[in-house]
Amino acid sequence: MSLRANSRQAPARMQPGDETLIPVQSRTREMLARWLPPIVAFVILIGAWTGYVRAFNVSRFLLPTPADVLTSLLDNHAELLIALQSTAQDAFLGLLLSIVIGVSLAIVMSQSRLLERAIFPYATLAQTIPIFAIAPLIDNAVGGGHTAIVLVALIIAVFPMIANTALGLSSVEQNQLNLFRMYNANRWQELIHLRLPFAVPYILTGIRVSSGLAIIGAIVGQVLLGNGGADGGGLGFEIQYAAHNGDYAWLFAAALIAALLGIVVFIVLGALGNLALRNWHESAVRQEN
Amino acid sequence: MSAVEDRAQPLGAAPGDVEPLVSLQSVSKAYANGTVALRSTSFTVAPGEFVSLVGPSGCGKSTILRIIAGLGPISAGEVRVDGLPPERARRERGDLAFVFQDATLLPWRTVLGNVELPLQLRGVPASQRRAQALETLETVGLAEFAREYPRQLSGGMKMRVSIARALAAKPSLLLMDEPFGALDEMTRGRLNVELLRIVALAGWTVLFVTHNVFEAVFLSSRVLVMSPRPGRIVADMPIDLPYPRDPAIRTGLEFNMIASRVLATLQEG
Repeated sequence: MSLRANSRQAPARMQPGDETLIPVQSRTREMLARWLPPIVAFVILIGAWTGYVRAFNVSRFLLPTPADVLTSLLDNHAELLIALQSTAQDAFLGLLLSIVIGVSLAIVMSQSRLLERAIFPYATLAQTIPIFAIAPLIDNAVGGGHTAIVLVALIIAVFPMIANTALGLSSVEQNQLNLFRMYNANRWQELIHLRLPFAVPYILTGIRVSSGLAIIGAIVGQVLLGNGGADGGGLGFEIQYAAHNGDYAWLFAAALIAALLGIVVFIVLGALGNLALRNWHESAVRQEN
Repeated sequence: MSAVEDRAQPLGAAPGDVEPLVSLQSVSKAYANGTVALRSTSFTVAPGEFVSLVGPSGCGKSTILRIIAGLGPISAGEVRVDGLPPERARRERGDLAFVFQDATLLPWRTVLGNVELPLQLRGVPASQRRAQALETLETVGLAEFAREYPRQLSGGMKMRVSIARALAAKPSLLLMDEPFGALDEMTRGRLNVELLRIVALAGWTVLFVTHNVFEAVFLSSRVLVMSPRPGRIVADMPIDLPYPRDPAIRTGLEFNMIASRVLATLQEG
């Protein structure tokens, strides 16, 4: 039937000669437009910083120049790399735990109003409690070292996981829920086939926020509980040590490495998230106008 | 398609004293916020009928569908589906399918995955439901789009997938809530024809909500006209046009006279 053939609304295919209609986009230009602004901003910042220290003759002990920081970074790179590894490891474990615990708690809360009311206030507590107050308790309870530092990272990083996952699980459209009810889906099916997949973009956002917090949490844990030994010194201890000794170039070098770690993790997670969502979510699909 | 053909029967056949598939008796429905959506509504639908509910926006048409689907309680009266209270009918027979105004496809599933959903929720093994879903897609002429994701499809195509999903569940009663309301006139007309073809093939009983009188007349064996809120059935109008219906009748005199009669009734409300 011709009507059936007509109702196939496949996208129009290109025909010979259509190529000239496609807007020409220079790749180099696109790259320049993308990378030039941050590079220029970086050069201006470094220049202004160096200029300020030189012009006002600021003591190097109070504010080192970028060159001093770089020198310190190169001089101490072996020690800083070991510290970086330790911090990255603690932060990663803290993040992993906060994903598992955060998503699990959100799922439990999504299944029962009662449990949500019982749990949520204490989940908020993880966000608001001064970590300085409970760090010694954790230290006493688990005996310090990596375990204690991972726990601090977990406490600091877990809340966005809970909040984002819970929001995703409860944002499912009414008609989608009705559809599942129509087909007599049970709670488990509704969770696995509807709520959880719907919540994936929310969970990915949670992971990106929590990844930064886990790094901060690991560093704070190392500042508070790190012992400088092979077992859990990390960047936190480096920072504290450098601050104690007034070696601000070293301190800035350690902070710089921590920041770079955070940026790299953020970019990698963003790319992985786009890969996971590329088929269906607007956030991961590039639209042409 | 054998299981569908088992039930196939001539569309529009509504023998007088067959047990009704759906019956509403003096059904009223008020929401917690005080809105009275339905007041003392009664009608029946016999197996094999294609019944449309037409009425102004907010007259409770969609409420009726949700009640029959067992998705919400009623305030007074009695509803029976297959002789059972709607929620029990849904749970025990699993014989209902619902098509919503938005296609309600799961964006993270392919077309095939979406059509598989009702079978999957019913516990049909993976290979079997895949084969069944593919067969359904072939029936509606969508097989070549099986691997695409909903976001790549136009509104009309999404709705066809949504209808295919309902078809895959092999229901005997199909509830459609303004399924073509968001589509352009051309697409709507095409999908009307296609729907009649599928319904005849599957032997469905259909309850169809629309505010488009011409669509209602073209599709239905009977049109129920509703008054503005709180909704009541004000007229029960059989449409005496033989099935299968040629798309061309929509420009004919007889069709348009029936449509104007329905329209006039609707305006008297």
